[in-house]
Amino acid sequence: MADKTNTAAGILRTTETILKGVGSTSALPQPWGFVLSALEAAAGLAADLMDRGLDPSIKIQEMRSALPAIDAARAEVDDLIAQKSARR
Amino acid sequence: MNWFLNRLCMVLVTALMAAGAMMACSGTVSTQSSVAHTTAQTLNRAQPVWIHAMQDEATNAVNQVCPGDAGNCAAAPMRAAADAVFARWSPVVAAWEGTRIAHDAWRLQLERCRADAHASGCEGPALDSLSLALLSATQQWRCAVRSDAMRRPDLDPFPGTPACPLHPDAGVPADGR
Repeated sequence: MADKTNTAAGILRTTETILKGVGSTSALPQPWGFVLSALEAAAGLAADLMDRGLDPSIKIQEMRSALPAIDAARAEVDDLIAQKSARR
Repeated sequence: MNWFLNRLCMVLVTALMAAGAMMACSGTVSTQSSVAHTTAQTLNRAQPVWIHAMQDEATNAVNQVCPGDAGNCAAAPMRAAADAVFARWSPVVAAWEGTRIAHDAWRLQLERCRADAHASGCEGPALDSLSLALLSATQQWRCAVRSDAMRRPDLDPFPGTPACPLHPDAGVPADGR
């Protein structure tokens, strides 16, 4: 467990250092050049962390759509409008 | 605190996606699946932050048209103010949904490969292109929140300024000028 924690912390430190460094330059070679740079430096650490892979019994999590939450936000704003115009 | 956690999570996502790109080269479906899984978990946690910011802007717009709890304001101007806010945010929403679709494509292909390692599209380069498509979509979302219309770089949890070819005013131009 301590090894995993150290590896994760190492990835964070390395990646953040690189991203900050690349972000300070005026030009990037390509839109995600920063990721490729991070890849080179974090590769060793990331390989250790990722080596375990995902348990075959676990489905890969879906990324949630923003649309239901946006509908809910709109509904709350609509409620506010209704309150402010209720006595009209 | 939310901002800090969001930023921390996104730095981790960057590392994980970088690891995903690397693993794509070695064709390790299991490890890419781990990256895709964690990426979705993290982005799902980050989502409420910007949606809350959008709702706050719409609420403020309504309150500017009708301050206080008057109860006798005309609805139409308030609705127009709120609609203007939601319309301004629509490119951000579209970019987010684009990211989700890119993640879906990667996830579904990975699930296919997990079920049958010899299925078509399970080679390293094929999986690599799907993971890079996700990176591209993420970049478009960063540019959307930084565009002239939005001017919300505070919602972009990544350090540094992105290259935004379609919105040169939003970040560093892609050609570096």
